[in-house]
Amino acid sequence: MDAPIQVALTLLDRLILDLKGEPLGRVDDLELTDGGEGPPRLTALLCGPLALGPRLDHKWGEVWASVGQRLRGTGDTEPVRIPWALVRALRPGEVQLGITAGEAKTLSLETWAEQHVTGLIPGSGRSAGVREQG
Amino acid sequence: MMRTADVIGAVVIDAHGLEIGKVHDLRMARDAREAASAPYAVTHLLVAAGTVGTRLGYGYGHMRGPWPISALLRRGMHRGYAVRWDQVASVEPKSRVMLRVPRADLAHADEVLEGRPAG
Repeated sequence: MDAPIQVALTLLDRLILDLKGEPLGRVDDLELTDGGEGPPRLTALLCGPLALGPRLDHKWGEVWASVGQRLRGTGDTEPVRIPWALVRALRPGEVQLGITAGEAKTLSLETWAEQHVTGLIPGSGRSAGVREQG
Repeated sequence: MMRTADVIGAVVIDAHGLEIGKVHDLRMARDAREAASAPYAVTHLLVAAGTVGTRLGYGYGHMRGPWPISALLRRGMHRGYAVRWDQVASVEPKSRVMLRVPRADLAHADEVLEGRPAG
């Protein structure tokens, strides 16, 4: 057997890195799939407010999840899911994937915020570009 | 399909209806002969009555000092249990884990995690 892991110590809240070492977010929860007659198997990392909210197990968790869903700008109620098969390595404090940030889709919240909030602030790279064009 | 959040924090009830603690962590393993991308499978639920030691990182041998605090907190945590998955009868998400065995049949967490002998 490989060395056993304890998920709360080894995986939960650990930083997720893409193939190039860029940070993608944190492991907010894990998906376990029924193993039939055997034990459940770890099948995916779950990320974002829709994964962390239920873990908080309080009214604040529901608030966190609903705010996160609103900021994502989509009607999807499921958290971002990264299949376990895409995990390349587990290191202390980090989980490295074998895909790039664009393929992981964990940055949709940051993309929404950039398009609707920070990108509109004068001095941001986007507004500077608009001025240059004008 | 379930999430770890459905299990961690759930109250554990043994076959006699006695509450023995809460799930603090899940222990998983996989066969080294499988591919590196093969999924881990749950082997044990780590159950203990206390929460403070676990929250601070004590209890399972990963936090070493300062020694007075470590000794105090780890002493309580060592009486936690490692419940094999085949000893679990059912899981009610975010609520309870029902066992098919009595407390006396459970291994202590330190026996499983650190290879310490029973007793």
